[in-house]
Amino acid sequence: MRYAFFLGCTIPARARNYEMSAVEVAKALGIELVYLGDFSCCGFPLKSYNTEVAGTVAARNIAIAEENSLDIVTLCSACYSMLNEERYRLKNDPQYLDRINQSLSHINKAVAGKSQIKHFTKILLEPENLQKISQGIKVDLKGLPVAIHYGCHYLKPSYVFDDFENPEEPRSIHLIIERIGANVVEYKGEKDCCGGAVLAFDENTAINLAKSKLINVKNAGAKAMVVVCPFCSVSYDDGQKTIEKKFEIEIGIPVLFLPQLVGLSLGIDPKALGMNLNTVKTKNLLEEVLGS
Amino acid sequence: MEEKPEGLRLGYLCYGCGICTSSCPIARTNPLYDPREIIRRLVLGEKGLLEDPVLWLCSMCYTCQERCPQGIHIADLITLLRNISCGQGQLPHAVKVQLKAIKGSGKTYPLDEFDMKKREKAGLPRLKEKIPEIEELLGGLP
Repeated sequence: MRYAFFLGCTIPARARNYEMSAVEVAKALGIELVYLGDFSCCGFPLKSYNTEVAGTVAARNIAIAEENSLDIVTLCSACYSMLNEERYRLKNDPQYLDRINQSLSHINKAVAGKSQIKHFTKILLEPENLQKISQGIKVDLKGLPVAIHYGCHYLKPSYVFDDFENPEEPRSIHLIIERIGANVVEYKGEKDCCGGAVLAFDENTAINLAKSKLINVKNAGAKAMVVVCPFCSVSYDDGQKTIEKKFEIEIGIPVLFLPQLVGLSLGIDPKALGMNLNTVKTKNLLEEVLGS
Repeated sequence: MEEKPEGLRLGYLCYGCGICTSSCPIARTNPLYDPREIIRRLVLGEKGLLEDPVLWLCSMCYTCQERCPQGIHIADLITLLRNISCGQGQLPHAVKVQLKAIKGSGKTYPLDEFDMKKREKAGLPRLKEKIPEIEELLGGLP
């Protein structure tokens, strides 16, 4: 399968390990990710300012994918929900579609809302890819205890997604983690938000929210946390040192992007998966998983 | 933006059950924030609501919206209130910063030569530093 690879803003600048590992896993499974240079910000950060301005930016990105007759695959969950919300509106509100196309006409673009927007995680879940993962396992994760953080925009607002998943009881990431032989650990507050979106407005609230989750994950006995969004990684991986220092506690939970863990099980070189770019050191975890 | 957008009327459906507030991770962390109270203040037409910084505490996790038994799109309502507040010229600093970055480069985090070198080292392709079409689209904004 071929997809337009939508990176957004945070990943190319701050989460290259997510991009690297997704590229490697896609290569191993025969999924073609096409870099289209003209993609911009998805529009999400502009939503609070003006929903229709944000929508215009989102629609321009969808228009570019449509020009190339490709569906979009995202790594960032905020891009995933923003582009899906926009597609939902374009498809269900003809007057809105007209207004957006009027704005886009100034840059000689037009949008229909045809291209689908998928999350990389949901691509991994497709039966042929799950099967390829099973067949490609090189490293036995021996039931490694892992805590999943689904985050918010991977699931919500649920009405905009074609591939609806119940946000009250999500299972998609469980299926992948179980497939590669790790063990999903349940913990208190699993569905809580990472707080990333309030970081710029009230740092204390964001930090307190991230702290509660990290402590719950540690108390549940997880040896790693798995995320599918760069904002969640900023909160739990980048933010972990700040939290440890501020509250004088020790956490030390490596936070991996899902393709990093899948890549390890497929026997891909940890360096190629950007494991050395994670803020919380992954050395001990890698020794445990790979032996040395 | 019209003065009384249709979406705001949805607030009148609220019967005050409080599922939103009891589900809200921000309300649990910061006692200043209470989505049920925001809806109530909206319905009562409290003038100060648009200037109140509590509007900017919502993390947009959509838990309230998913659980509201009246189907009120609470997170979307808060977005709408933020839109109206911004439309009146009250842009929080963080919004101004993001708007400026996106207008200038098409991205919230513009990529410079340093980033490009790091990308190359990681075996990732170079990306465009600027998407001029976005400036064309957003040109008229503050």
